[in-house]
Amino acid sequence: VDPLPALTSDARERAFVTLYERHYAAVLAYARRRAAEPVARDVAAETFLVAWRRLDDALARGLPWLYRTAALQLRNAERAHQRQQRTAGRLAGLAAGPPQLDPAAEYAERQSIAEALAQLPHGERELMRLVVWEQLDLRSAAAVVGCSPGAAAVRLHRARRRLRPLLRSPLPLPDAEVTP
Amino acid sequence: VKPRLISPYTVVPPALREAIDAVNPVPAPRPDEPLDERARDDLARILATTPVTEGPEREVRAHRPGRRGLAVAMATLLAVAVSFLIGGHRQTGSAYAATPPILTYTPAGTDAPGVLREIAARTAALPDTTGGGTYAFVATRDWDLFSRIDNDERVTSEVVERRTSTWTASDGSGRLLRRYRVPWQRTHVDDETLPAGGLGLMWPLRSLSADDEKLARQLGEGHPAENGPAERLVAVKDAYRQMPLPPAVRAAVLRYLADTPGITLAGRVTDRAGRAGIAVALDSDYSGLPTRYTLILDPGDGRLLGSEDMLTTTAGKLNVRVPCVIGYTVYLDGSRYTDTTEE
Repeated sequence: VDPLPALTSDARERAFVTLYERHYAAVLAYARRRAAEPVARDVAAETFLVAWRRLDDALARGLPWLYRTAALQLRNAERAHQRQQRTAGRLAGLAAGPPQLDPAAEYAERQSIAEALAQLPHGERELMRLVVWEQLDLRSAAAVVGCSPGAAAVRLHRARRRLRPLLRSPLPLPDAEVTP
Repeated sequence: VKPRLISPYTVVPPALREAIDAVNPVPAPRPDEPLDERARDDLARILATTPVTEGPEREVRAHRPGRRGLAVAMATLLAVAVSFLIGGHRQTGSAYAATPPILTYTPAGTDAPGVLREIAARTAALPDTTGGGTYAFVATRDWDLFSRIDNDERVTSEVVERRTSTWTASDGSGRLLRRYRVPWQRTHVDDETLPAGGLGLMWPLRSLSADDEKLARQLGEGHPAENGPAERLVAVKDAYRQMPLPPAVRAAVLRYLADTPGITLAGRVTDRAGRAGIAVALDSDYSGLPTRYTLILDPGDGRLLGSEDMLTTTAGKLNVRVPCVIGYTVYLDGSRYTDTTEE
């Protein structure tokens, strides 16, 4: 016996629209920090399409769940991009270049902190970004990357250790270069 | 101080946080940003598709038994309703998120180090009953004021309660079982079997020392002293969250707490599982808001029974009234080494 009343399709739609209006900008910002504009827009749309299909999960777990879903969509987009690059490379008789999906990579060329961030192992980098850029607490960030809070803490401590030398010296971050 | 994150697990120090924030290629969106044309188009397209209520889980490693036909339940109301109901205060119509009741502490003197050392002496004489199996089993119940503070004024607070059980082998593989308790919805169950490293041990199993100096070094490794004395309480919580501690180590942990500058005796208390405990506390504003970190200990066997984080004088931009509890963990009985990954 299911004691829970199912949402009417109206209520369901209202719930989804509320979720969409509340979190669309955050999800799009998340995608834009990790991919170029057209990809980021598609990732946001795909993420909410999944949320519509899995509305109970999306509503119960909120923004961290949306970020996690967006991460999966980004990975799919990256694989598709790499396939296209390989095909294009074969057609042109040239080796494919690295995918240009990550705007943070452009900053990495100019700024040592960004460079150091870009060189962190994927899991550490993503946790650091989630905690600082997306302003998630540790447990939510751990939920996004799919590890335990303990594991996330360990990874962040490792990342801190790697980044610490950069902070001892005066920060190489002149404002003019930092502001996009 | 601009409050940003109130998690007691704030592990990224402010200087590093600022440096990384400075290379954020996309600033946080404005809270009132309306949907643009593309966003509205996408919304219309999504709503035009037929929703599927259940589908295969997309997460790679997650294995979820017992999730037949999860009803799509009372969804919009959820975030709001949960925050109003879980704590037991009904505040319908209030703009404040509900928080759990503050525990009642009965004064028990002022000499926190003395009391801690006394319990340590008693604990050190106890037999080791933590068992000898492959997996470190630990069960907790916890509650957190989930908060995310945007660059502008919007603050969102949601309340989530969960019960977590972990079985961790020495290579960090094992089982992670999480149950999210949400009123009038069936409990969400996340049941994951994790490969080596998946559970991320901060210290190898059984490695924590009963020697005071060595233990202080071990606990300090991932919990640097520059974060202030409250970091020592976080280290103790992390240790208990990861593995059972035998009496000799528990005694050393109590002495480590006794050596914490500024630690005070909060008093006798009945914890959230109904157990009698003695509480020590430390005030810190390292997280950005003045916070009291409290540990509840079993005076009989020196175990950590629970931890409480409480905002004392200001809630910054959080929509809660002070003083209030913003997070607690109950360390459930039965922590031990075991050969199975079953409760």
